[in-house]
Amino acid sequence: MNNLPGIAAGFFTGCCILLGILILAVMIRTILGPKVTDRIMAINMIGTLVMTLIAVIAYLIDESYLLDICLIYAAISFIAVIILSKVYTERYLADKADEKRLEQEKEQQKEENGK
Amino acid sequence: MIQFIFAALFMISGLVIFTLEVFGIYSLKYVLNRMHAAAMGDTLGILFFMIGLIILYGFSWSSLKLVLVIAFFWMASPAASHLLCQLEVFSNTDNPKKYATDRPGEPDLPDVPETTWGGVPLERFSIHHDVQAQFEEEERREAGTHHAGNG
Repeated sequence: MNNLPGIAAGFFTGCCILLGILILAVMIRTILGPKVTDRIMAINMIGTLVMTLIAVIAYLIDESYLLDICLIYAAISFIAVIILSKVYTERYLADKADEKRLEQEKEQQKEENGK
Repeated sequence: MIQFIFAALFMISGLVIFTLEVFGIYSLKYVLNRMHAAAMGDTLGILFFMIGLIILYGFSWSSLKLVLVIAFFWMASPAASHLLCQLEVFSNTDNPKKYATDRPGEPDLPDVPETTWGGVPLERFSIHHDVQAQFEEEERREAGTHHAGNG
């Protein structure tokens, strides 16, 4: 542990508690979010807040290797958001392409019936 | 002691910005508005908080790691926000022309998406589409043109 004076230790503990409350609030938004985009955005925010929490704890217990974990956590959170949004974008594009194809087939059938 | 006071000021500013971010995602009504609040926390909040910790650590390797965290976030967060906005614009079926333009007198942009996305034809993304058949057809066509070119 770091030999911090009482005020400093209390301040950092207060930071940790506030960040924990904020993470809980964002988790509620993740559950409530009406759209997929809301949820992915909230996941991104949870990643940011957890990273900040890790940085504070790294100073509080005086273990600077936790900052490496912080960096890796940032990278993994970023990759998760990128992959989720890519996958959902392609999913919606596939749906739109299917709708287009079905409309074209219907029009072709109508023309054939008309002839 | 004065080092701690400066660091605490910066960290409190960062926490205030994080709190505003969480208030923002609850008070705003639409995803693209909420994304603004989230991006503010990702950049400005991280910057203030990490500057506070850098002041506490002084000139050391830990400070360098924190600077790397700030640099990474300032590059990664806008990219993630951009992709999320793209997903929202593609997946919103209520009003496709909502994002075209707000200014009067300007012509509307064409509906998104168009026939290709990033150079890939849209039919490639379809799950009902027979990809193998299309590849074979393309190969046949290419072979035909090659043959025609030789002839």
